[in-house]
Amino acid sequence: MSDAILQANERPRVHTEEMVLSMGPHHPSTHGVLRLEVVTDGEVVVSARPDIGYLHRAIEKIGEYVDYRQFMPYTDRVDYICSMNSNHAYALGVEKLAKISVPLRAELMRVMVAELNRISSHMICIGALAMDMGAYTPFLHGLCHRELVNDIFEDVCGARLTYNYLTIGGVSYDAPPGWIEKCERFVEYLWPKMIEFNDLITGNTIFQERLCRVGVVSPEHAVNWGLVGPNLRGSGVQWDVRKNEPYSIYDRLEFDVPVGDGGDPNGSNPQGELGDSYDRYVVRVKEVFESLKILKQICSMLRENEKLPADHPDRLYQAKLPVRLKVPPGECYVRSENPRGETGYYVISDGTEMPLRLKIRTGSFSALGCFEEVTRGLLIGDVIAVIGSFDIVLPEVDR
Amino acid sequence: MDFNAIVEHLKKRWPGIEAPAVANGDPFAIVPAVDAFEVLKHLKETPELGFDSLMSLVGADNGHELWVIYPLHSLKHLHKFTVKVVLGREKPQVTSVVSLWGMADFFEREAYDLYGIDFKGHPDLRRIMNPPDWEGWPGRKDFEIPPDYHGIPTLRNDQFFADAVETGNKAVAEKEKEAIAKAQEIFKQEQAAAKASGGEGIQA
Repeated sequence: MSDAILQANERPRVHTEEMVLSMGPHHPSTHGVLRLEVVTDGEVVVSARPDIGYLHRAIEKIGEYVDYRQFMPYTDRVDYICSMNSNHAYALGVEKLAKISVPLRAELMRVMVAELNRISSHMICIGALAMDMGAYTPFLHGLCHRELVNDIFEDVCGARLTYNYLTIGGVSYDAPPGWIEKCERFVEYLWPKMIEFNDLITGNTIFQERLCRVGVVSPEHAVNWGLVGPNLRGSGVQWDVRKNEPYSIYDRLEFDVPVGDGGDPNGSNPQGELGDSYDRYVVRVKEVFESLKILKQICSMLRENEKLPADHPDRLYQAKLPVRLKVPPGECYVRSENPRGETGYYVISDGTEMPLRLKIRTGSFSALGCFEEVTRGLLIGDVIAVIGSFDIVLPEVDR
Repeated sequence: MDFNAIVEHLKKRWPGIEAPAVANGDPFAIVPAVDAFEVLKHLKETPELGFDSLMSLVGADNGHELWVIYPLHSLKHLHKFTVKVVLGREKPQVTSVVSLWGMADFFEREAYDLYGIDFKGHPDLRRIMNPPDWEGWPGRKDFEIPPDYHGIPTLRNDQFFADAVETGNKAVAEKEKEAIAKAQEIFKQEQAAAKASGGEGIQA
């Protein structure tokens, strides 16, 4: 026996070396055309470098050749999971530079569709994350709820994915008859369904084991790496553009900003660590409930608004603007809170009908920037968990 | 601190900083490229300024000169500041700020890719959106779109595309001709074989 062990030890050692694994661009777990150059040492990731640009359509450059209104449909394609929010961010930028004030009813409709779109975007994120972790059913639940949001959008603007609903100075159409009731019914429907969703997956031990203490981002690093939105709040940083720098009518609404509380024995993630993948997941689930709260308030505000006389300025859904919209020279940075975090438009105008430069800052792009640092030393399966919990959407990365 | 107070604070050490009057939009300070890194480092590390968050990093071209714009924000003091660096079109260079804000990594690569701005000291300055062998700086105003990339036409109504369609059609037509000739040949051979064997031949 001892001789056999001795002989085994004397045998030449098996030659090992690091292996380069090309993950994507058609890997189903990379949420689009993302390619990862993963250097692995066995099952451990030495480095995972994102290779992007497969969806680069030069949207920013196109913006320099079309006028301010014509660019709105392109913002749909920047992030097609939440087109309404993308529209909103761009409209805010141009309106700030052109000093356009938006009527109250248009603001109500904007916040309404933005929060509905936030819910449908989070449905995709949390469903797809569960699917990446091996649970197929939650994704179907998420898509089922998302369909209802799409129906609501179809009623108001006719489209189900790329809406082009917001315009500079307002929205394209007013709410059709019965639309507000439909939204109220949706809120009443989704609240218990989300509790059911929570029971189904959030407390699942296997799901928690896959996400807790994986891909930890400390609060300091999250700020330094420019993480935004739920990814930043998952690290425990209390920062929401809607709350801290209110735009539109968010300052009149009551809602909470959920943050990650990993490691807190009384919190939602007692086994984890602050800023892990599970924290980012839980923040999104909680945000759906907050959005539902906002929707309830907006529905009652819209009803109040409809009691006004028909020619009241607050009843307008569009500001009256010249046909040829010229924006005075200047530059500004405007940000809005999208489902994937802060989307910022840096708009530079030279006084003509077309922008001199439009720079779109998106949450997914900066999330991929720190991807290599976050995934160093993880297992290959955990890399998928980190991609899913960062909620990366590739058209937003490549623009 | 408001914008003017920050500019006054910075001017004590760097008199070259200008803050042009703006009638519209956000105010910004123009910082000489040689001082840019030190100014940004000062903005980040001085406790009363504390700009811990770089909101975006913009490369831009106004037709004459290139700009790099750093919109900054402080989560601690909740104030904002915008730094603009003006660069010439020939060999534009500015020191990288990746060591200050990790977020700048991808954003500087993007500005390099689209505008050809060289960020000195960047750990991995490669093209990010375009393929590695792409030529020219597509973000610039004077960029001319090449007719093709590895044989793939870049413009739909281009002559290149029309030629490609025409040659494609020609190739298809020639192939069809060849196939018809071949079929006719086989048909003749079969008829000849049938006659030789004494039959009446295949009815055409």
